Amino acid sequence: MVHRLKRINYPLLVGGVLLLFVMFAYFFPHLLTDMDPNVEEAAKYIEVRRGGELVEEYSTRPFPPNEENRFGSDEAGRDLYSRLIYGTRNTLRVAFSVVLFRMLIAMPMGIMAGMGVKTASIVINTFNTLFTAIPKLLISFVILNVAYFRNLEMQHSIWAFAIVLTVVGWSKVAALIEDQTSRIMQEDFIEGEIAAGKSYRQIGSQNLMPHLIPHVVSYTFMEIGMVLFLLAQLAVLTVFVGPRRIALAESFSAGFEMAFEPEWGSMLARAPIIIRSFHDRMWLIIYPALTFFLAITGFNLTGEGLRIEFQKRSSRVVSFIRQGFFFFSPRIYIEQWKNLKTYWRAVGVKTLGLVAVLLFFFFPPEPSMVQFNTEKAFEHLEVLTDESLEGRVIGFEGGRRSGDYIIHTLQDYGLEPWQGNYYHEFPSMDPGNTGYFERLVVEKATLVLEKNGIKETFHVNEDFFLPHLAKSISLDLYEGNVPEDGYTFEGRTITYEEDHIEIGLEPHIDPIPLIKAQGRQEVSRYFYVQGQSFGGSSPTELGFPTINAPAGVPYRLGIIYTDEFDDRIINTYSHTNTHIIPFGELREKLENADIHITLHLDPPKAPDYPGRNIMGFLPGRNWENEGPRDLVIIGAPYDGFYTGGREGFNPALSATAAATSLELARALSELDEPLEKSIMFIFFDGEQSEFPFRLRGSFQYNRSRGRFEQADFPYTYIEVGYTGNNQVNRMDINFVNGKGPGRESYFARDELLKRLNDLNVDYRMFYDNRRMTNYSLYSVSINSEFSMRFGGMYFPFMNLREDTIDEVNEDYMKDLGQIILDTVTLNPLFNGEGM
Amino acid sequence: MKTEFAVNLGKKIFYQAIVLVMILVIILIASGIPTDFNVYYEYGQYHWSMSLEEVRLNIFQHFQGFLSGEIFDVVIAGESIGTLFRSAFVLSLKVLFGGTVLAFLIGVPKGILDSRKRGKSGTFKLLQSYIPLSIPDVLTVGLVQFGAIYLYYNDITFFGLGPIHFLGDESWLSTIYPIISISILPAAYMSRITASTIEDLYTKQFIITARGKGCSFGQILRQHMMKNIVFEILSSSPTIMAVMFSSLIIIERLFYYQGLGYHLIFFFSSYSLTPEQASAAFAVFIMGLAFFYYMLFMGFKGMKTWILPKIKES
Repeated sequence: MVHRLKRINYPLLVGGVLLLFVMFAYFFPHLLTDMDPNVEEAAKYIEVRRGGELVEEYSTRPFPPNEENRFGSDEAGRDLYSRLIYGTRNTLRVAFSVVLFRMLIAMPMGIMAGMGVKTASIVINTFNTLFTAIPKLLISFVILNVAYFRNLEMQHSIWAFAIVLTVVGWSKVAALIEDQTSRIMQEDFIEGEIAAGKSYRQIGSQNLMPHLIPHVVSYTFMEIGMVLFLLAQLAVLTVFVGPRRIALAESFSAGFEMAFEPEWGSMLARAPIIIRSFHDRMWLIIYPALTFFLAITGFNLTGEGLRIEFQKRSSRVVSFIRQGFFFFSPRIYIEQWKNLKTYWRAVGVKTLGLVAVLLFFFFPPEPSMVQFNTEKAFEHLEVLTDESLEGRVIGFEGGRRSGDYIIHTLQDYGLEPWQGNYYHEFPSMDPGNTGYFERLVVEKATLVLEKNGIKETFHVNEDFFLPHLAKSISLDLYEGNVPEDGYTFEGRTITYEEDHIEIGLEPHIDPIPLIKAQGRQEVSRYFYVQGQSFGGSSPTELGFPTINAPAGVPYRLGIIYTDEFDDRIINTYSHTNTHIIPFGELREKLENADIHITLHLDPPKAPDYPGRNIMGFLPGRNWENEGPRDLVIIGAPYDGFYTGGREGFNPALSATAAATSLELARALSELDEPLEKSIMFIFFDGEQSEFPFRLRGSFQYNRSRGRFEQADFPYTYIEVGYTGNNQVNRMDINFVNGKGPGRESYFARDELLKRLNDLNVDYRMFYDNRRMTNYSLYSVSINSEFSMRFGGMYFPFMNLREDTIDEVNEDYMKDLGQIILDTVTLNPLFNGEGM
Repeated sequence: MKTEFAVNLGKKIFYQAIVLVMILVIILIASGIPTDFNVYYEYGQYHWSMSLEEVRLNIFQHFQGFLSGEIFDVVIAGESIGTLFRSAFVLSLKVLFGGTVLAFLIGVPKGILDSRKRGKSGTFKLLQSYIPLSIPDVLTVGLVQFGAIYLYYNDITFFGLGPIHFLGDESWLSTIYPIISISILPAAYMSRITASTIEDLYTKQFIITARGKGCSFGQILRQHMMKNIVFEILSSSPTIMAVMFSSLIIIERLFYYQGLGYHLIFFFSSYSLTPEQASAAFAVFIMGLAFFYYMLFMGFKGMKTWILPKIKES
């Protein structure tokens, strides 16, 4: 008995058991846990053992180990155990990729060096020497810490890690293989083969490899253990694979990056912080570290166990590997084909295996249930960008007619009204509300400069833009008190400082310091971008200070200087102050001091209609059910920028979201069988707005009608973004997790990524809340199961002269539309099949 | 003969010096790349955050600063980089030296116990030496911290020393926990080396002879094996040292022990320094670390290649 126990290869046995568990978690994580690894819970009642009894107590994240969360939760409230289980795949994929790459380089180099190729030996030594001076950990940290690598999607991140860690680590493996090869080459049987006249290549493939492979197998396992060790170290230095997002202040501790996908290393990234309060939160470090330990031990022991096994003369494992080498040899396979009658069985087995491997890698993706028709989408785009609609501005005639078009189209497609109505109206003007920035239209304005008795006249949209009009003007419009001859601003420029030029109004008013803009990008982001921050969060270079003007002087004027300015259309909004942006010759002149300025505007036009969010509904099979009925909401903006009076401008990109959404409505309405879940299409008005958001249709929806949907129906939200032009080669996708238990965003996203790969879509996914400055996604996603936006929320070339229908990227629109259709029809979490 | 030896030695030293200079140049180039150099993604396209010309200029200024010595005078939080480096170096050296000694004191006896004196005694004991090799640094530190926190909060002292705080580097006592943490892995290596050396030697003829003459295992160990064990450990020093240097960075980071490793990570990832300060400080520290590490490594390699064989022969 004792003798038998002594014969057991304990490292192989223990290592094998550990690896079995690890690989089980790799392939079948859903059998080990039924929790979603991405669901974040902020606070809840947990059951914990106190003095041997199970008690319920209130806890906020991170939750300590309790009955529901066996290993506790991380700082985002995500179950640690399920993240470790699901993280097995991501972590091991990195380790396997690194080792595979290292072996692909190290094997040929090591074999060549071991067989006497000096160059190979020199290269190996050089790399070894280089990474002797610089610890591999440090160089890996420096390279992988570059922001570009930190933001890569998981698959690309794995590639990046594989390449970097291969470069720093292949030479050590190559040196081992070189050493082993040298030893084998000194064996008597090799000398015999050389004497028999075999070439080095033949000796290498026929004699060397069968003896080397067992050692390589052993090295491979131990190398995987070493790579996992390195990954654990890098993780402590906050370097780990996969995308990350910023933890915002409203969650918990703020301002650090947290991993989105489950991965072992990411759970150790906060170790230096957590260790300061280790006694309170030790589970956050101990469990991930233990997981690494078990996996590393498993691979190390298996490698060592195999090494022990290979040293045995009568090792069955070695025989098996050598036979396997023979079995998988292509040359033998071809020879057997030639003698098919004799070897039909072996050929049959090998051919079936080959077919299975090929099918695994090249199996065609599931076909789409319904196709997105780009031509039909472009038909809608043609209508929405018709010049007569003048840019589809909220509250104006063009905006109204574009809304009518959308309603009629939805009706033609057979979509039903939502709760009795195809639209929901909201005020397009509220001058008394400082949070409301109405759209106004100024058709005529002139700026007269006078210096040394010489007057020069400049015109709006030719020499300057008028992005803002004072709120008081808006109030006059609302109350019908607009002066017949319009508004006049007068003042004199005064040199103040090198970067500042002041303009005074009436003599008794303090001059307003004007601040020179730093660059075009800040200005364009400041004014023209839908959803970008404004006001309090704008950079100080672009601050528009208000002054405490004496009572009775309601109007103020500001001038913004930019280094460059694109020829674009802009909307005019009501604002605290009136502002102009001069360009070209006017700008040069204004930068001089001591000029008298007179700005005159004809009475602006105010909106004639209220804003309108348009809704169409496609009931699903679940709509007749009792109980909660899941809803999918597909939202898209449809308004744009005023184009009247600007020849040569007919921007198309701002209409692409609505055009895409209309085509989605058609495609889904023509399905033979309705989907399980019901779908509501919303077209938001007023999205081309500035901070604050109150005039936006999505804001109005969220605070009024939306509350009812969100309370009554569990829903997921998909936002249709803008299509890029032909310069854009990658689709932006924003994914927002669900909040609260039972929201399976991890699996939905997993399926989404698979489908994106099946369709060969080039994309960039974001999870960062900073990207949620598109207000509709931000507001509607709050109570959703999870939310996604496909497409851009803004492009810098929108509303330029070059923004035309011909420049719209058809492939981008096709991909955008198709991925949304496939998500709704094929993704099990959307089509009702469930995971 | 002696002349030929001297010439060969001279050539080897010259070659190593060239390699060292090349490595330092590469490090200087790499650390001269601005820390805010980035490829960022915006509106469907990738953009460089700065032009390659700006990067080249920064690297050039970096070289100038280093060669003129100005880089050492850059001030961070009231201290010059040179001063910071010296104090950090001393702190790290204490941990490395203490860790090495402790690893030897633990590893060798452990290896003696683990050794399978008769080759057919099974593989169970191998587990004991392999499992410690698989413990990631963060787990080691976590467990040491766990013990340290318990001792600290319960005011437990040892021989009048303590209670020792579990973080920081205020006093010499603060080196104790980092030393313990950094010694675990090298101790496992040394244990493994010791065990395998004993196993190899146990079947050698002169050992069999000694056993046959009635020498106890202790006598054999002291008189015949210890020398070989020390030789093998010294021969494996480059590997052990590589492990220790990597662990040093992690352990200093987790213990907030402000040695070289801690500062390197701090300079690279801190937002409280300007990119110029961070770049200069990082360059000085990594150059210093690389130089020290390389010299140490070459020293051990030289000892392994030339000195130890000669001692063995004699």
